[in-house]
Amino acid sequence: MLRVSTRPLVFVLLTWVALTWGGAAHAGLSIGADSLSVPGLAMTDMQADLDPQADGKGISLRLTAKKADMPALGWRKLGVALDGQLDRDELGRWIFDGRIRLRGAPGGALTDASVKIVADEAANTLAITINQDKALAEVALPIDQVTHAQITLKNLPAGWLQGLLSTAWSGHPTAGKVNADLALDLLDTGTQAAGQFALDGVGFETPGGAMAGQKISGSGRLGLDIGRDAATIDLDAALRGGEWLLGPLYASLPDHAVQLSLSARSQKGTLGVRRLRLTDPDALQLEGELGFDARGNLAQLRFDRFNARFPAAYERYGKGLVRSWGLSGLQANGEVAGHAEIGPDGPTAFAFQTGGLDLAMADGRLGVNGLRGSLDWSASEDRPTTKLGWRNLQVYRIPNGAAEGTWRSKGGTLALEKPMAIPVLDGDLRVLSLGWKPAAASGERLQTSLALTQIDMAAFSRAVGWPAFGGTLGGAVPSLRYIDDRVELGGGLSLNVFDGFVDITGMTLSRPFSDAPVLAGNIALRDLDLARMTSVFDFGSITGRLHGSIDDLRLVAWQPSAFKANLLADQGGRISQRAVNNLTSVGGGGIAGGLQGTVLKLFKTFGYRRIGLSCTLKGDVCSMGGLGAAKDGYTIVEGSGLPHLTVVGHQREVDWPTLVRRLQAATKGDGPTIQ
Amino acid sequence: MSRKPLIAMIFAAAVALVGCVTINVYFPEAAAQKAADQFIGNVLDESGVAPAANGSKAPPKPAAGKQPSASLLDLVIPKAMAAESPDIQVRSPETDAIRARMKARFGGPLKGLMDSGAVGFMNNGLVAVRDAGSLPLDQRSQASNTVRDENSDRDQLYAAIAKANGHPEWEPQIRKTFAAGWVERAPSGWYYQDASGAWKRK
Repeated sequence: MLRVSTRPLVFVLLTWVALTWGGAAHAGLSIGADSLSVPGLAMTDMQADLDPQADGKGISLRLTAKKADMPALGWRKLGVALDGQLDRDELGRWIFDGRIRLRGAPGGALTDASVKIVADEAANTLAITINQDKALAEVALPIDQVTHAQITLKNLPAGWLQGLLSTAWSGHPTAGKVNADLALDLLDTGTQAAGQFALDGVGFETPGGAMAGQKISGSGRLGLDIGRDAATIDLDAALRGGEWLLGPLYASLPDHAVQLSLSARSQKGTLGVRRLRLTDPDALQLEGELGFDARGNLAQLRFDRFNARFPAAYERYGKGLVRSWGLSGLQANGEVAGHAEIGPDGPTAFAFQTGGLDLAMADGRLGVNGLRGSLDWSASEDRPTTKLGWRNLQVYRIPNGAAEGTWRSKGGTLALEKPMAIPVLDGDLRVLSLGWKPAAASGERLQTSLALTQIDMAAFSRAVGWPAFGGTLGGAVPSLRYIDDRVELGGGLSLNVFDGFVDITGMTLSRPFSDAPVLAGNIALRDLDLARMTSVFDFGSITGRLHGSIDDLRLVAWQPSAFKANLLADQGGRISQRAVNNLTSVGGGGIAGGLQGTVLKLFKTFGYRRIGLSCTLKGDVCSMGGLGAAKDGYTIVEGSGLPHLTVVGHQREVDWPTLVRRLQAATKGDGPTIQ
Repeated sequence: MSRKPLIAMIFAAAVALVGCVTINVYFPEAAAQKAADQFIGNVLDESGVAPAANGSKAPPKPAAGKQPSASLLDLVIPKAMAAESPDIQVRSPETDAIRARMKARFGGPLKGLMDSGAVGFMNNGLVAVRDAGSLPLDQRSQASNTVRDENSDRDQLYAAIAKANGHPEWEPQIRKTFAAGWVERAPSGWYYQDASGAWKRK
């Protein structure tokens, strides 16, 4: 490559020398020229001085040009200074020995290098050796065929190739050293090079940073063909260490050798890897092709065959791709093999088989252990039936047991062939049907119908960290759909708790695996036994039956954000002194003083006829109401018998966070008591 | 022979005398609205991002009526419209969810990206990667995802606030108000775009 830079110079020199050698051998000569242009080289503002050496041996030569262009190297408007002695040795070879200084070359190439040029007409060879610091470049070429050269590079700073690479690629090298042994041909249509190379800590970067590499080391064979509007590269290399970023693909290579073989074509900023073979013995083997658009985005990916061993495969090669799917922190263990194809609009086919794979993602919110079997899906063609099962499945904190399903891809939908039963919390989740459309970038991706039977509420409560509710959970979900990162529940769930029923309908869960899932739904409460309920919440005891509804419920990150709640216990019962205490402490405490307080202390429970409370939450404000209007407020508890207890609420616009804090304090049993 | 029944009878008589017992419950009253840039302050402060130096904070104003947000919005909304000026802290489940996600993001990956200067506030109320090259390679694709998600939430937020005010057409003004608010509340060292689009360091 460097030959291109120096060869024309040499010929210019030789021409001058030949012209001037005879006549002006012993007189100094100075030539100035506005411009000089030979193929591959243009110089302006030139000055050349030739002086015979004092000892009569050869000529001292100085050549400067204020602006020199070498388009083949991507070098433009360089300052050039060449300074040295030209002589003929006893074998009749021309020898130039001196220094070359370039100003403004990309990557700071050849700022001050020694240069030796040997032209041997008898042997038809021209040899150029350039040295700067530890960097060495040797170029040898036949004099009668100057478009072909052998190049040897040693410890060449990768940055020096910046200009050359810029002719074919928008990126630039940032660091590292290059060794190479290349044969180079300059053709009318471009440049070709082939040979051995070795990299030591090389880095590169494209504008925008979408493609980059750092500390890349390795060696191999290289074939390069830089044409007018496209460049192709064939590579067979053993790489050790370093990091690669290709759009969403990120690889952090291990210290041991990874075999990489590829054939790529770069055209107008796009990059197509038409043949890719990667062998990392203990992590990943794959064959396929890749395509990137001009901005470095992955436009196409096809792995005809891959074999991955986790966790190494994920740590080294999978992180970037998985993150680009919006997942992070994937933990994987086991082995998987298969093929996959992703087009510009999403996946078009995949298949995998595994003998044992454990996966956990979204901070453990979703996980599977002991995945076994295979799946085979294609967006366009029907695929044979496969079986895939697991030892256990974790959804949020709810453990699911072992199950196996029969799957088939038809018309782009991967569907369950027959119903599947998954043991959940002493009960059963029956998946009656399931259809998954992996190609759907938006819209309906998953459709399933479920039936839940006899799920143990106590176990469920423990799993999600609630107080221990008794009872069972059951229900049918005729349609559960996953649409645009939102789970929609058709039908309803019915919880048989506290000897009554809690019915959940119209439920949707948006962004289920994000930091802030949004749950929406309507809840109806039917005939709940208040005694059992209050015993769970440690609020004090209330007996009777509770009905009500919580409509338009919105939970954001599992915290209530809005709802319209209406709770009513209208069949009478008794309310304990502790419950009354807590109710008052939630209301700010210390209300019933004097004679009333003294009287209250005497009774463990009070009879009531009705209890009613409503709260419409919006933002941080709960608009409260009760059974009906009372003096300066609304009635919450309407007593019966003696003493006739009446609880009246006085604040309609209530600060919800404060109320929740007080409720929490009360249910912990450390709330203030009536004095 | 116990005296207890007797005492109980006496007190029962007392209760009968007292008649009805009424307990008054005073629930905590909803607090008055806070500062105009509450949303931004809430996201930045509660996510662990150091609050801006006192000097650069919005000047604390005495609670001026029910619409403290008007002062900031007067700048961008014509007087005629300001008569019914938007309440930019209006809350709905949608804005609550967006706030929760933004908080998680500012408490997580976005803070590092802003601190390092790889990402900055744009003058249109969004964020942008301004220097991907400064990031380690393994963080770059995640950074662009974070920025994409954040901007999708921001677009939703501005539209949701306009809608919650009953004036979807106010979205551009709300966006401008927020754009200024983010920069005002940002800790020093973070990058932002000035009106001409040039990046500046606070």
